[in-house]
This record gives sequence, structure tokens and C-alpha cells, in this order.
Amino acid sequence: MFTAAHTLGIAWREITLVLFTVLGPMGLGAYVLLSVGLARPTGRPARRARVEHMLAVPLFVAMVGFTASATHLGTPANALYVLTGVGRSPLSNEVACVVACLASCGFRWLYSFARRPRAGVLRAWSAVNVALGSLALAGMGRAYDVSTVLTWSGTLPSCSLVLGGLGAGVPLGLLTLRLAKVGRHPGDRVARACVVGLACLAADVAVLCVHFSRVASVATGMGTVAQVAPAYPALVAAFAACAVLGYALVLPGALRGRELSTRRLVAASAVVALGVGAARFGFYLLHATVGLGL
Amino acid sequence: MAYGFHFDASRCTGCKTCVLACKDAYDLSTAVAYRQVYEYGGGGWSRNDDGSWSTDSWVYYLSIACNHCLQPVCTQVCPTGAMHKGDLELVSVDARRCIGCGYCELACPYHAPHVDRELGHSVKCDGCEGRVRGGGQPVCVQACPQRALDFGDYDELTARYGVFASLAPLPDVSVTLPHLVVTPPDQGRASGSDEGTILNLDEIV
Repeated sequence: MFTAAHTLGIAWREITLVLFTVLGPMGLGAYVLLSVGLARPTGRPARRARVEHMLAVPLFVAMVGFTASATHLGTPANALYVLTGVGRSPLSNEVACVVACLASCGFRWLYSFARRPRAGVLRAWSAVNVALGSLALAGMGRAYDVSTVLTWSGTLPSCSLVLGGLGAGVPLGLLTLRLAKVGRHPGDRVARACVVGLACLAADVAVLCVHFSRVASVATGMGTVAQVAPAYPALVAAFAACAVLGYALVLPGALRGRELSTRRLVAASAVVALGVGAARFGFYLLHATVGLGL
Repeated sequence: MAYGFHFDASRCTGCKTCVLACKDAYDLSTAVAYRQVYEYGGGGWSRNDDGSWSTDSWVYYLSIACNHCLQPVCTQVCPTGAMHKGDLELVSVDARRCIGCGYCELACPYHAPHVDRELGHSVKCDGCEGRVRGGGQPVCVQACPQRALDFGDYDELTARYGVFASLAPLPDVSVTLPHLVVTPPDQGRASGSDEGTILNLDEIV
């Protein structure tokens, strides 16, 4: 029992990082998906402008996550030194990628308010931000890929974060479009986006199950990983349930081509984020080093 | 020259004098300890056919601090370079650079660094660098009543005690190449064994 309480303590201690790894990928996922559309020369200028301005919504969500991550630092005043570890420390790589992405997204958002923003510049900048956003998601996924933490290292935990970000980013992206008064009469694209988002979360659940099955029987000084984190399977189940519930709020309407209300999209985004949060809490619960396991 | 520790698990009684001497010398709070003593054991009791009981239970102790590894993972993951090796090859924290993110604490397989929330940065065993520079020994080594701890040039330690350090529940030495030599106890289990568990987790900080 004590070992479970010990890992629960670690997960609670890192609760701000849970927030960061939910809201950050969710906001960036939505931003990247919307930017893919904005990088193409389609749509009426007025509609595009409304979406450009409303990109503040996913950007704000990502910024809240990034700010939350800073609150767990003991001495944030030394944060600039983080850049000296780029290339060596996975955490420095993550911070550099996220900062570069958020800065570029922020300046692009400001530029979209210019009196005569050049359409070509905005499209090219969107393509750059898709690349930076993808890099930031990958950087966040790799942040804890360290060989001595056997439950965090490897490709699967990294994939999980990216899949969760894209899966949670779809309802947030649809909410952004709704707030921009775009997509009132959703067509095949919205339905396809919902199917892809749900598929990402289903793949995420599968990845988490495979990862747990691989590490569950590994012995540490505190017992096997399964004994150390007995609540993990329940958290993954809660994630799956929230993913299904969240998409159940939007997918049937999207498939029938019905208008998705703001309230429904807010609820879907919140429920899916809650589910991803359960999975991320499980990630920190699963912390176990080689050897001692502490 | 690289410094390292020798720990004789066949002598240690788990008295924790080393832990307290260190806490006393550096005025550490109850939430922080640079050295920990792990009680590792397993086995159990079984009832015989004649109704009597027999046991195969076993236990041994490990006194572990930072091992100032040849390939320390804490310095690799530290985003600011605050966790570093000095001229004596001892791993220590530069408090002026540390942001207190705790990555070193999460990654170290020897549970050596800790983030002191009051100070706002990581803290850990620095091998009593000041005492060593003055020609002395770390305070834990001097305090041990069983003479189960030794400290010195790692090459000299391996020449005197051998190179073994892969004693459960410690990780295999190949992970970080610790500057640690362990004399195993009679009931010692090799790293990776699933026969035992740490029995005194409520004493570990």
C-alpha cells in the first residue's frame, strides 16, 4: 500500500505538469490542425480573417499550460539558463521548441491584425507554424525519454502525448471555428476531423495499454511496476470513457451535417481534456527508475 | 582522479548513524537526506507437515548517497547545467543556475538529488568536497561505527575491494557507471532480482 501512496505523491507533486501536458498539446494540436487549413489558398478572405483572429483561443489554452508548468519550478528566475542545455537535455529541447513555437504563433496572430496583412505571408507563416507546432509536440513527447526511468523511456510514451494532443485538439479546433462563426453548416470535413480525432484517442488508449503490458511485470526495489501503480489501468479506462463521451457529444451531429453548438463543443473539449488529464496523471503515477524504483 | 565510495553490506547493521551524521553536519531538515539506508528483504514463513513453522526470510541494508557516477544521468538531463562535475570529478549543484525543476531527482536511479522546496533548488551529497579538499573523509565515512563505509580514489577502492556494485535493489552498474564498490552480504541478490522489496519506505525521504 505504501508504494502506491508513494507514487501517488509523485503524481500529485507534478500536477502542474499534468496541466501543462494536457493543455499544451491540446492547444498546439488545435493550432496545428487549423493552420494546416490556413496554409492553403482556399476560403473567403473575411472568413479566413475571423479564423486568424480566433486562433487566440488555442494559443491561449497552450499558454495557460505553459504558464502552469513554470509554477512547479523552485527558482523560475534562473529559467534563461535552460537554453544552455539545448541538444543535451531533453527538457531544454522541449522548452526551446515550445517557446519558439508560441513566439512564432503569437507574432503571427498579431500580424493578422495588420491593416493589410499579406495573404501570402500569412499562408507561408501558417506552414512555418505547422512545422514549429509539430516540433513542439514532438519535443514535449520526448521530454521525459530518459533511459533510467524505465516506465517513461521509449517511443510509446512519446507517441501517447502527441496522439492525445491531436485527439483533444480536434474539438478545441472546432470550437475555435464556431467562435469565428465558420462551419455553421458542417460538411464532410468536420465529420472527417471528428473521426480522425477519435481515432487518435483510440490509438492513444491502445498505446498506453501496450506500454503498460510491457512494463507491468518489471521488478524494482518497491515491487513490480503493476504493484507500484495499481490505479493506472483505471485511469486509462477513465481516459477511454471520457474520449468516447466527449466525441459522442459532437460526432453524431457532425456525421449528420448538423450545426454544433458552442456549448456542446465546450463540453466536448472539456470532457476530452479531462480524459487526457487522467492519462497524464497516470503517466506521472507510473514513474519508476531502474533499480530502486523511487 | 575520480573519487568513490565503498560500502560493505556484510558489515552494515542499518543503524543509520551515517544518515544522521550527514544531516547534522549540513543541518538538513526532516524532509531532506543526502544519504539513505535501505532495508531490502524478502522471503516468508511456511507451515511444515508437523505443524511447526519455518522461515526463509532474509534482509540486508544498503547505505547509499550520490555515487558521483562516471556517466551521471542527472548532469545529462539537467536543463541548465547546474548539476555538474567539478575539478575533483564530484557531482554537485550550482544553486545560482538551478531552476528546481526536479528532473535530476526523477532521473537518478540512486535517488540522490532532491529539490529542497524551501531553498528552491536541488540539493545532494557533494562527497563532502570541503573536507576532502582539506585531506579529510566524508562525515558519513568517519561516523560509521561498523567501518562499513570507505571513500577515496576509485581505482584504489577497486584494487582493494573489487568492482562489484550491482547489488539489488541498486541498478546494474552499466546504467550510469557509479563510482561505488559494494562488498555483498551473504544473502545478497543481484540487481534486477524480484525476490525482495525495500521494507523501510516510510523512512526514505
